[in-house]
Amino acid sequence: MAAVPDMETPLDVPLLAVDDLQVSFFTRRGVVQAVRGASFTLDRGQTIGLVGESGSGKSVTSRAVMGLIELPGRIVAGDIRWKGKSLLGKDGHAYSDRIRGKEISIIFQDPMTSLNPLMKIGDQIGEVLGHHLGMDRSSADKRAVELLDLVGISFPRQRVKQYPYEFSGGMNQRVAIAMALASEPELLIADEPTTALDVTIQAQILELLQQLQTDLGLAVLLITHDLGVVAGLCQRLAVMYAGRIVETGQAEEIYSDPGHPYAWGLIGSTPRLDVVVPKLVSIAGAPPDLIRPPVGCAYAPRCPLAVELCEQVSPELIEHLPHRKVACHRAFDIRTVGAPVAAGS
Amino acid sequence: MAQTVAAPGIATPGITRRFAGVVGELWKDKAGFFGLLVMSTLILVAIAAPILAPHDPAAQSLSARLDPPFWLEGGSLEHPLGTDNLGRDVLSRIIFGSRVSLIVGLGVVAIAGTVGTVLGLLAGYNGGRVDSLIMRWLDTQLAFPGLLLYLVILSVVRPSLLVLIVILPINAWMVYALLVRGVVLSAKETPYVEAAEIVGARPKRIIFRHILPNLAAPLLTLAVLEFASAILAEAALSFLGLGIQPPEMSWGLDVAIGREYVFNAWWLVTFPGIAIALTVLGANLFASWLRIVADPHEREKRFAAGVSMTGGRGA
Amino acid sequence: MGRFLLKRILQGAIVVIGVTVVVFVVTRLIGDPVRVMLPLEATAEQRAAFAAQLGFDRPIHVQFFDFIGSALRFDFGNSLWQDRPALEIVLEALPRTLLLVGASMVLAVIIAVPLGILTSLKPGGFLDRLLVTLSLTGLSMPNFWLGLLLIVIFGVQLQIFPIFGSGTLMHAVLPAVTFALPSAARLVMLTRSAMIDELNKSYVALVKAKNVPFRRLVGAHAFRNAAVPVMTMTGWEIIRALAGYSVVVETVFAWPGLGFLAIQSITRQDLILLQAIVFVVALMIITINILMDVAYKYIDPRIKLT
Repeated sequence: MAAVPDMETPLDVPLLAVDDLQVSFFTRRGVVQAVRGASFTLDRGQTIGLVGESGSGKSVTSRAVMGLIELPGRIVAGDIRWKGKSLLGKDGHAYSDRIRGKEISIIFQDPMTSLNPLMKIGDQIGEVLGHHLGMDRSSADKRAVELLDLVGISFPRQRVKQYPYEFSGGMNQRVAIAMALASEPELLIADEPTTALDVTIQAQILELLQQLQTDLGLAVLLITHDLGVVAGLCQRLAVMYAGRIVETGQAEEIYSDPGHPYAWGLIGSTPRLDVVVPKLVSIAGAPPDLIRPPVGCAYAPRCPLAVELCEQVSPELIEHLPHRKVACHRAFDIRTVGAPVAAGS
Repeated sequence: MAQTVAAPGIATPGITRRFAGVVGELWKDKAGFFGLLVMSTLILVAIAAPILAPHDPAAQSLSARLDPPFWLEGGSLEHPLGTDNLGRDVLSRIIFGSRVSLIVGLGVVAIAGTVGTVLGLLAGYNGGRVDSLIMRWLDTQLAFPGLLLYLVILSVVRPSLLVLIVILPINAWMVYALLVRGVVLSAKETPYVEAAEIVGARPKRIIFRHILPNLAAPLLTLAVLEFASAILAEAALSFLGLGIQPPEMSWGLDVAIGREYVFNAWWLVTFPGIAIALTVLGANLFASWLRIVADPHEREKRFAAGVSMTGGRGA
Repeated sequence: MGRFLLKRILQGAIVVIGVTVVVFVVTRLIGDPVRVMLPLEATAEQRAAFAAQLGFDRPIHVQFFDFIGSALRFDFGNSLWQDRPALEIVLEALPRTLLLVGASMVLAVIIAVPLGILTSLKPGGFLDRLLVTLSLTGLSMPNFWLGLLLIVIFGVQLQIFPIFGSGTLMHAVLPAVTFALPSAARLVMLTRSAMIDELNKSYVALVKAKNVPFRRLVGAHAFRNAAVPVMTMTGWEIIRALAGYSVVVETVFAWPGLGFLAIQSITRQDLILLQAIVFVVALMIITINILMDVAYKYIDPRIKLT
């Protein structure tokens, strides 16, 4: 339904383009530069995983796309374009009001707290249908039942009349997904959608997302710290570190041949079921203080390959291989150290 | 769009820096500073009343009855805020009246605070039967008509300053107990208290070393607020004729006297009333400032609000 | 529901008995009812006769059970002051107090809730700081003084409203405002902080992401949730008004409700009437508490009445 390309936008313009986005939080301790220049694009029906440890700015990036940055946070520079038109600034305001919540929707990490505890499930879905699709009450009610059925909730007709507290965490996340799909969006942002769930439930939710993505031709921006989650769902990957994107490319390519030492370390520290891993490694050290970010590469203090240049000059995100961008002075030199899974042995 | 907002560097460790920081912050928060000023003034005036008061507050003068304040026709600087129906100096009575307010406020806070804190500690720390007993008592008493209980007591006991200080805590202890119990319950969940229990620290030691420091800020805030409500309660009872009795002096009592002359001598109810309202307002402002400094989240929000003043756009 | 009500009524009964016991203890053991109720110049024979007439000469435990028993039958005896059943006098005054408290609470909520919501939307802003300061000032004024100020301004200077008594609806305006302002001040502060709490919650962020109209975000979502503490506070304000402020405010305006009656019963040394008042007010408080618990059930489906 949502995948039909509209005729107004040329096909070579990406669906979503995040361009040198900078977001800062003005706290008492100082200005925290949470996102320091993030750039990536996403095409129709494409899935991208934005991966990084907590505090890397991945969640802030997704919230900026959704227009959810609030004081003390502020977008200080850069642009976010939807089908080629900016969502920011005065001119973007009216446009973004039509786009956000309608063509782009989001689901959050903790399903138990991201639904209004005092409103019936059906009404929470229904208000999206009413506002964005202009449905009247009775057709919204009917559609809400269909949506619950779509996300695999049994007895949807009874369930729409219930409250979130009567549902389990996994079921509430299904409800949140149904709510996000209600506006028939073209892009679904999933911000750590499985982190708060039990492992068995995680698999079910991921399976659901994957199935919906293919069935509906949705573009998906998946935010996660867990490479295992990305593996099954995303074609593309963007690795984030200390507020910057350090590597982008096809997910499989990055897995097998990471270009950035941080991506290499991240892959080496993720348990995988499909590969026999002799030993998991952890990345030594901690991410930098984003109030006073280093002049050079933020990863240099933890990087096994760092040279003097890394401490002094911050590397640009450059296309080293076709469709493969890496921000590292020693991009792909990590190959000399060995495959990521063999690291540390 | 370059970043132009610089972060004001504040917190550096060190006691003197911290103290200077707190005072500096108090100065920046004008309302909190005003609150502290009012409370200090109250204490100073109460102590130095005989020096500050221009007249003997009880001295009657038939020739100077119902004189208006000095700026009105017929008033003079002899009695800057005028005189009452017996020719007594209103300003001097307000100055001396501060003593009753201060004593009642401090006395009630001391008694109710001690009783409430001890019972709250017992309930929160021990849990189980002690807790449910104290909580059940509290629930029952909360459903009690508070002021009417005072009235029943004051209908059979001759009211006085001492009686007020003894009976007001009958209701006032409950808020302390609720607060302390709440803090203790959440402190018990924290890793350091659990760890202290595991290594076998004695309960008393755990309370004194680990739980009480957590209580200091909220208790102080509550005490300041309760100081204000004790002053209000004393004023109300004295106004009703069930508190401080003449010839003793109290702001509430003076308002009651002035009530008879509300049509021709408005200053009699106005000035003692302002004294009460100002004192209570000062305590309230000081308490809300205390709550903000004690709460890091609140401070962060204040800061963020300050940033929003300088302009900025959340996308 | 039925079981819940039964349980709460039983709990209420315990409170009522508690109140009765306390009143008994205070009036009979701490004070001497005969001394309180008779004038100072009464002779020893008059005292003895009076004590015998009211049964104060019997052993204390007999008096106790008799007192409790008759209190639970709503039989408090005749008022000494008016020489008719105390309960009758109390029930005459009760509706006037309820009218005043009811009107003032409606007024307080109508003023406070929209202002509280408005300030919460921009904490730290100009309007917020102005209203918080005004609220703090409002609740710092002793209500007897506030009442007198209103009398001076609106009754004496502007002569808009009558200032004493209870003849017409106009008579209720100033006392109701005196009741309402401090309650409104507290409710503004509470609504504000409850709304700020809700607006910072995760579900509100998701509602924002849904991009539904702002009015719906504030009303149907955030305030719907903030309404729970606001309702609790309103209940408390009603109880505070009934059990405390009514005495002061009604006395200032000579409004013939329960509070004024309580003061009169003390000045007339009529302990029997005072006991009846305390008993009836305690019953009212318990009823309000139970009503509030039931109302919770409707406002928050998560609450189970047990």
